Amino acid sequence: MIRRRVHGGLYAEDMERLYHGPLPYLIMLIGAGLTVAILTGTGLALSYVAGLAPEGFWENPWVRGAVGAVLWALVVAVGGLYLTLVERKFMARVQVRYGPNRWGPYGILQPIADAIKLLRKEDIIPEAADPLVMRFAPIIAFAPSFVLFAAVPWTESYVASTMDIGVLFIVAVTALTPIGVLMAGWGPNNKYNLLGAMRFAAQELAYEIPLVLAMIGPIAAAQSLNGVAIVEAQRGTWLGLIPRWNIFPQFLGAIIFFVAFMAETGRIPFDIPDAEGEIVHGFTAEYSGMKFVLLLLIEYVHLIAGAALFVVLFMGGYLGPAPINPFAWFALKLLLVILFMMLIRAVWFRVRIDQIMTLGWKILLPAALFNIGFIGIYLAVTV
Amino acid sequence: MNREVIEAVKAEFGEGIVHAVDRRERRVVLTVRKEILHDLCLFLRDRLGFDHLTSITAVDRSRRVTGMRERQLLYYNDFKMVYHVWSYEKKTLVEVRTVLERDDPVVATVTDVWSSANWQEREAYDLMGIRFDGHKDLRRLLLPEWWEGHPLRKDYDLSPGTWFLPEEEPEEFPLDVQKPVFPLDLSLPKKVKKKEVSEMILRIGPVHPGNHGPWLINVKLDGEIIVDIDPQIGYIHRGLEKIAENRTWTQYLPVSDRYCWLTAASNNLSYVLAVEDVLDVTPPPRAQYLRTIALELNRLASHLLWLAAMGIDLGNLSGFFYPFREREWMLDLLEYMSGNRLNYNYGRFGGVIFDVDDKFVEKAKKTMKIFRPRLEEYRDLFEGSRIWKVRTQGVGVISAKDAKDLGVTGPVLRSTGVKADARKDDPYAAYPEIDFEIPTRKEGDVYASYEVRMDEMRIASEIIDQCLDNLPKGPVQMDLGRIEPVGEGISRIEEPRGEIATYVIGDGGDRPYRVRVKCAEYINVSALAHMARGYKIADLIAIIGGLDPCLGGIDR
Repeated sequence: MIRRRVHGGLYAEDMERLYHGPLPYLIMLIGAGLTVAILTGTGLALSYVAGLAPEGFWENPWVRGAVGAVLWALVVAVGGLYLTLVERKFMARVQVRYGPNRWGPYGILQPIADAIKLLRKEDIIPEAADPLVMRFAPIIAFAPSFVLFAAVPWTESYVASTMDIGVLFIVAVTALTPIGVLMAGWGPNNKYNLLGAMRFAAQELAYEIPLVLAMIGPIAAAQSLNGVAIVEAQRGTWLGLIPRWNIFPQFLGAIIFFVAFMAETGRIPFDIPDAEGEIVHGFTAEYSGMKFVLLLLIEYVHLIAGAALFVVLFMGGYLGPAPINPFAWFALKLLLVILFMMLIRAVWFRVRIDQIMTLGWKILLPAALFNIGFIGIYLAVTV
Repeated sequence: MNREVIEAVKAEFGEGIVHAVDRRERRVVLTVRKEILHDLCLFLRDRLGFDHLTSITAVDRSRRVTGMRERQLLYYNDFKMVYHVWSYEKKTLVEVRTVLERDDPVVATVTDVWSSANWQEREAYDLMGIRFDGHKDLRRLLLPEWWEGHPLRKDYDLSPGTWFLPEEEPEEFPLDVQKPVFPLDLSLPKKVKKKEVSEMILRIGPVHPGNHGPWLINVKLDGEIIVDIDPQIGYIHRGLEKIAENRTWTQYLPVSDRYCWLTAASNNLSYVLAVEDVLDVTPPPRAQYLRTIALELNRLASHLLWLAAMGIDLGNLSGFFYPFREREWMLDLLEYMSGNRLNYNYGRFGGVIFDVDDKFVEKAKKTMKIFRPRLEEYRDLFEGSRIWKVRTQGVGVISAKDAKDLGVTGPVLRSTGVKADARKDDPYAAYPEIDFEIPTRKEGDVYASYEVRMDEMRIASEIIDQCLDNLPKGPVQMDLGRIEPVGEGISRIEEPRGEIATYVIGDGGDRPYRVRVKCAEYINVSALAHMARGYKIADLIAIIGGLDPCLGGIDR
């Protein structure tokens, strides 16, 4: 029914009915229900499999690291892949169109088709490029953004590394990405690449500081840098109703963190490093094939990482009422944050380079500093 | 008004004026000696207030090589320059003609009188080989540097194989042959050393998402700040003016749609009106109303596409899709009227091709009723976002004086506070009988031109409503017999982007002797360098979007 032909005659009224009728919302509801069911099932299955291992098996850091890496690789690869589909479908809903619907029912095979297409693309290195720099740039840019997942806890026990400096580690490895991106800007010998990389570096620099400063709130509340400890500090409720998530007392901090990680991710309204209307997707302009995919995936990996961090720091991580298991709670919250970012992307414009700098240095930085003072007083009063 | 102009000019120049004709309402024709041309232009601008140069046309007056039947017109072996000058105050179009020798066609430049003459003189040099004494930057405009000959001359050899690439391919890639010449460098005295450190030349185009078609914008950058711009056009120059000389008058009708694919109705009607001006006929009232409806529907479709493009240029994907939804309805209506969705081919000499029925009236009314609230939706989507305002307010500011000097027309001119609209000032079709206002703003930035266009969309839908209410009965076409006009005709109409002027000459043959088209966006984008200097690259995209270029109209 939804695929009927709309144009070709005067169907103004039909279109009215189609876009504002109940059907799309029904489908979305069913989709949401299915998502919850799948996530809960996955979590239960994983718990069962993990329980089969002998006692003490999971305490071994090597095993944890290896299994965690594989698990996260799967999540990020498949998740990143399918996030493109989610984004396209979701934005299509916002923009009165259907989105991909040719491959599989409702287009669910579209990401696979995309991946195959990208894999088969010719890998072009321009004559005037610096081939070494150009080849290594995507790897150097992509690897650190992937490593940071080591310290993000799915649940109390599903965390690849239980290191005590967890959050600090995440911040440290995130700061490595701009090096790879600058290489991607320099290597191909293209002015658009260079401009994009310079913009990226400037933007990362401006927003790294408020990002870290906003993290201090949850860290101070938990008295720990460990991800699990930060989540555990948010257990319980106020008045038996409101969960003790950091987002409620530290609302300002949460906003600063959210805006800062959106800028780090480089998505609309902060997508000036790859503003396709101005500098033709910036530092990826000369890249093709898998190198391009790696550079493109940075955005999605950053998106997942930022959202995961936001959930851990401010939204109580894996905590939630019983019927849905913690694994699914974490994934659900993650999805919620990501969808919210997608909504912003769908309806906002892109800011200009000087405006984003003004926002970072003149508004977010003082606000973050103020926030630290505020959190200090709040914690002194309540704890 | 016409007599006043003629008397003032005669009193000033006396012998220099060969003929002065009061041709019709709002049209004066002056034939002058070449020597006084520059002084006359200065006099027209400063003393009589003719502040807008509509078009510059070069005509080769020799006997044409091709062509079937030429009669009645006397041929001379020389060139004629025709300048059309409009006064926003007097609302009069003066046509200045002067004759140049065949062997050495040189005439004084008028770029110092109207800056908008710059590109038009370059074009005349490019296509007709006229040299302009005192022009600072006389390069080819539409054709590449290595092109040989001047195609619009009557003796240009059109036989196949002679007008492609030169025998030996140039060593460099043809794109790089043309070196950018930046306007600011030209105005600098030669002794001044140019700043060379930290300046980068970025070539935006010919294929770039921010360009609305294939054109190359050479941008000189200091960091991210624009120092100067030299746009290079001609990538889709199809030689439509030359094509006209090898088609019959009627055969050229569908070609005239294709100047710019977004404003086919205006383009077509511009040509039709020019020919009707020569033939001196007025179509029946029902045809006039139908033309008006087609023009306004076309305006709506064009403005909606502009809004969509503006959305995607500044990063808002939703802003791209919503206007397209309503544009579809406008195209549906135009399809109902003309049978086509893009190149309507709707106008005919002495009328329009098809009549409409009551069903169309009903559908159009319903569409307009649904459409107007939709405009408010866009306002929510665009103005509701603070980022839209900070991205467009105070960007690409141009003053009314500069806009007139640079020949900018249409919504961009109206956004500077000049209340100029050919629909009111120089009425055609059914506009004299319709009650509508002309929206203006004062700021002259991209946001102001956005507001002007939004208002224009509302007013256009109201005009359509009025036309539908008062649609007279009767025929929609006149029988004009064989079309073989003799003489000159000019039409000036308001297309969605500004003023499109068509100048035609008929020699009594079955083919036009000369057709000259000046589209609004052609002159509008020549003001880009002036508007974008000092802003950032991101602003350049917003400014280009605000100018609403359509490369078909620019390159023709």
